[in-house]
Amino acid sequence: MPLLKVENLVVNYGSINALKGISFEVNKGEIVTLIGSNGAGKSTTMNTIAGLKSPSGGKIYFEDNDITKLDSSKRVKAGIILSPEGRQVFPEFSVYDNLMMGGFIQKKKDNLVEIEKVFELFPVLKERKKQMAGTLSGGEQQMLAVARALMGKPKLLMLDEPSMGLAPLIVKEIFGLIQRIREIGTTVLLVEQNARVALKISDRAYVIETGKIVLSGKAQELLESEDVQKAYLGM
Amino acid sequence: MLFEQILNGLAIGSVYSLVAIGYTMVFGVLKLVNFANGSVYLLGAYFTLMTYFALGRNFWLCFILGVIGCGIVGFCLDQFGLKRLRATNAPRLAGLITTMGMAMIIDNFILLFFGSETKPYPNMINFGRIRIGNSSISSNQIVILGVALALMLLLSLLTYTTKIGKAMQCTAQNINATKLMGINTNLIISMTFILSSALAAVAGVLVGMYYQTIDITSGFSVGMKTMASAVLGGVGILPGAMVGGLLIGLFETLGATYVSSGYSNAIAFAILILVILFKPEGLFGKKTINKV
Repeated sequence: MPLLKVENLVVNYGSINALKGISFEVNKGEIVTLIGSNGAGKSTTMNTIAGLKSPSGGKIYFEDNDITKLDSSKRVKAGIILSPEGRQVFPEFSVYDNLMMGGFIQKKKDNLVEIEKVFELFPVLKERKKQMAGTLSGGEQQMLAVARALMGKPKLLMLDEPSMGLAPLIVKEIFGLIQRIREIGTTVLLVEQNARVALKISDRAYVIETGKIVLSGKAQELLESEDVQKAYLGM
Repeated sequence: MLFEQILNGLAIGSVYSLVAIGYTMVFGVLKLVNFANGSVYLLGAYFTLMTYFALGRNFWLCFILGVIGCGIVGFCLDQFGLKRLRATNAPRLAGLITTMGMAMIIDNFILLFFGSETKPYPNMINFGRIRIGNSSISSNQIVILGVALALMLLLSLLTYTTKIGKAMQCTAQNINATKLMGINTNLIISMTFILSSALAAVAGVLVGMYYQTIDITSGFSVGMKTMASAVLGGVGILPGAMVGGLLIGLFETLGATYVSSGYSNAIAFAILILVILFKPEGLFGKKTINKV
């Protein structure tokens, strides 16, 4: 039984078809990546799974339950948490308060335990605990966004473009952390334009082009595939 | 004389603050000016008066009913007017015009049920005058100032110390990210409307008791002045609305005393224009720097 199963998902923005019926699965313990260029529909897929956007067709199953019509707040409680594109931390809150908001659905007592675990993964956030999130650097904000999502104890952590706008060294650090997060036992669904880095840490991947899945397979196979190399790896 | 006028100004200003808070709270979460707020203020006063005539003598019970009634009106305003617009991602202008429409509905409802003539209002807070030194102050001002400040304190506690208050602040900062925290933002928005409408109703009743009359046109004028207060303090910022209201009340009263009472509205709007010209983000507003 896959943890997340997306069946024939169709999403429209007005008369524009953003997703034209995509299907894929994420199994427990995997890192799965959706790759594709700008406007392919990757973020739309993530937002629809998180419940920010409602689909006009298709089904989403989480742990075998149909969640297609579920409110976004209930999906968070079910264990699907998205760290959105562009970080979207709360700029006027401190790092600490941001993390506490990430654990909004839990008791404060549990959050105090969880925050220590998160600080272990992201020591830089502990140093900057009292700093306003809006004044952090891009890389730190990205770490905060991921950490905030972890505070909700996700079963499925969805990361939308965590490498966007970051220096290569920081990208490497963040992807190292994503691997650690999986080792701790969280399943990860990743969206990336930086296909090479993403494929290196993933188990499986799907390639999306203009709202359709055109290719799928083991990440290693896709890394070696000529089509992918030409289109997404710049070889 | 000056001391009395200052107290007078602060009393009326604190009532303006209550209404201004409503504008600022709704603007904070929805980035929308709720033009119906001034009408809800008036409705609170009339609704309390109506229940007072209908149910008999216990004014304070009627006061509470009036406030609850307006809370419900605020809830409906969002539920039946604005929620659908949010769900369909309608442009913000549609929401703005909807609140204007709601204001007209409420105003005309009042006109229909209560008529256009000025009505006497019972004053339940007149306990005589209190002498301090050589000046004497009326209990009206003390009670109004006390009630308004207590409500502002309560609201600040709710906003800055409780979990639900944090959720309200988050909604104001980034509504999508707030949803991703597992927070039902529609619930938060409903709460904001209920709170802001209830505060406006309290303000309406306090002013009614203070002047001992109400009439249909005062909703618009107070609506505009309180909106000016919210902008003066920096719209979307809670302490800004509080201080903005107090300042507008103060300037208005001092202006009426030392210049001419005919200018009281003009003074409020002159301040608004000056603020927009020289400090458009308001007294408490920070210049926003957008990181790209």
